[in-house]
Amino acid sequence: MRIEIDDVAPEMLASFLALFVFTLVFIPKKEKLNSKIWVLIIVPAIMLSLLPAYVSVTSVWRPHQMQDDIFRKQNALGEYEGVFPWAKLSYPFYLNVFHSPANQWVEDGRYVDGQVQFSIFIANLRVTAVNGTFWFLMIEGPTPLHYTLDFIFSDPETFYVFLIVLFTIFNIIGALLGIVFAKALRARVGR
Amino acid sequence: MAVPRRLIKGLSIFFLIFAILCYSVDPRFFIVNGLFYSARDSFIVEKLFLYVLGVISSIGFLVALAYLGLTHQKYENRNR
Repeated sequence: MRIEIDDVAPEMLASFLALFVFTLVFIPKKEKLNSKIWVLIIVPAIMLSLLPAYVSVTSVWRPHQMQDDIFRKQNALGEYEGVFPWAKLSYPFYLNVFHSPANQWVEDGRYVDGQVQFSIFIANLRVTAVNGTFWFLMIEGPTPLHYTLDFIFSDPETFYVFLIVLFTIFNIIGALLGIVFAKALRARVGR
Repeated sequence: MAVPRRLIKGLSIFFLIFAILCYSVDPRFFIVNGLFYSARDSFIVEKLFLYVLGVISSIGFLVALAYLGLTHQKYENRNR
């Protein structure tokens, strides 16, 4: 388990802040939230949650072509954390991926096999880790990296969609908290 | 109970900003692995996702504008 204060990105839940401000500014102060208004708030909340979820998952991992950057830009533990502001957009939820280093790869004819581990973090706590293997063709230049995961979804595409849905749900919770906090603040302050 | 116009105005502003954001975001900003990769189909999936979101929010923006326009007369009459 990793507990390093230095790694905490100075960011909050983007969707929380966005919906907080939206509710404060655009919902009239004496308005009760009936079902029609809820629908009109939930639609932008879902869209606002989907975009950071997509960006933060895709920044760390995308199941398409890749270069060897993912091996070079690792932290001291060998984990790839993505590009900084984008990978942490759903903060405190974020994704890390660990690829086993090159001296542990197994060369099998034209293929190279290695271990991979996807970890989901809440702040600095590793919540869950999904293990698997990756393989790629030994050729010069960037090649597709293929994954086989030991999870309910063993194929990478379904797992990718699962990750986006999971992060979207987390962000929607943040957005709903933003609405509730804004309503509570307005009730407390009284304007 | 009617939907407050202020909320619809907020929604139209939100959809407009969101559509501009989706159309203008380049996946190369947030994917390091593709930065120097010149394959033509490298970012198709990423771009497509953002385009779909952009189209949805554009439609949302137009619908919100249409609602504001159609209810404008009633709103003016009520305030008079």
